[in-house]
Amino acid sequence: MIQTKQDIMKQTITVMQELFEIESSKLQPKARLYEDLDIDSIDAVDLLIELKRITNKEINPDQFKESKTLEDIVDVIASL
Amino acid sequence: MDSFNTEKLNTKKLQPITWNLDYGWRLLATAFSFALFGAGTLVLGSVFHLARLIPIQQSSKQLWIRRSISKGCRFYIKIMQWMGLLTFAFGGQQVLAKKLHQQTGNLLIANHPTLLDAVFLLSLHSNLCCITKTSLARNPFTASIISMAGYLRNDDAGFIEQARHKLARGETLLIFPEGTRSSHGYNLQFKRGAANIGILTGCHIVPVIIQCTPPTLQKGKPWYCIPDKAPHFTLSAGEVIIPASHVNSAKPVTIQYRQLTVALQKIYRTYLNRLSDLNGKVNSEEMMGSKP
Repeated sequence: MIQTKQDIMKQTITVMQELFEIESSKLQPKARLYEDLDIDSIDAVDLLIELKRITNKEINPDQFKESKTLEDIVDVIASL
Repeated sequence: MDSFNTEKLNTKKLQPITWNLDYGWRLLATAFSFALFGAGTLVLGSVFHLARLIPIQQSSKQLWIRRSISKGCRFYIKIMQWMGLLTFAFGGQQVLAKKLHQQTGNLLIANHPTLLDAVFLLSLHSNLCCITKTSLARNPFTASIISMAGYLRNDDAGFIEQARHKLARGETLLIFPEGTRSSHGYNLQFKRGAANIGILTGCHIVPVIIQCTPPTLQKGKPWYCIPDKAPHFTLSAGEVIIPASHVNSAKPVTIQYRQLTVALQKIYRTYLNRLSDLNGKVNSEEMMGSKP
């Protein structure tokens, strides 16, 4: 099954809502993780673990760390 | 009636002069204190550097270094007090010191109104492990002391693991949950570092409430911006906080961090508001009492 970027975006948004209880209106593709969504480095670790589990993909932590926005995360996962 | 008037006039004339003298003296003494702090950290830093060469166990060396830091801080505060730069009271010194030392392996948290907060807390505890921010760990005056005393840096990737390790060994950690000095008055804004440690290690949290009136050495104020009269510091410890009782453990840890952060913030706001109400009352009573 090929996942489209849209699917991945949906999954990522669901994970973020579960982990951080962020209002869905704030979860826009261009939303900045740290500044807009208040996700710090410790949160990022939990987010990575959960995304790996749900997408079943080996996401590279270094590549993941480079992500600045929600869209960036989706791009990293889509490139795998 | 006449003599009363001249008396009044005299005091009116005299008051600004004594005030100016006191102000001038405190400004001078403040400059001296800053220089003394710099010199003190340089001397301690150099001595600690030399101590690297002494072939004794790292853990006993660290203990010795932390004791020296604690003594240095006590000495520094005594000097500032002696110069009339500040007065202080501990919420029952014995009680506070006992509370801070009582259990080992717990996390001290404190609000951060001034530059002197860490100095006060270090003076009260002889083996405290501070959690420091990056800028201090890079500051040439404090960098070597921070590394030699085995303090933690909040920007280290394995910082929580290190904290867990230190707590398990019975060390007491100190973190200022605001991450830096307060800039919102009593409306404190906590970062999640303290809650991260509390949730992930389950350690007990001892809240220390620091008050400084009038405010001094605040964030963003230059050193020479001193208040009209010498500030009075009070430090007191609140009730021990057990992280698990402030969060819903069925939720993911990421939610628990947020719940505990909100709870800690609320606890501090309540303490500080209660204290300021109390102070307001004392002040108005003093005013009432001073009227003939």
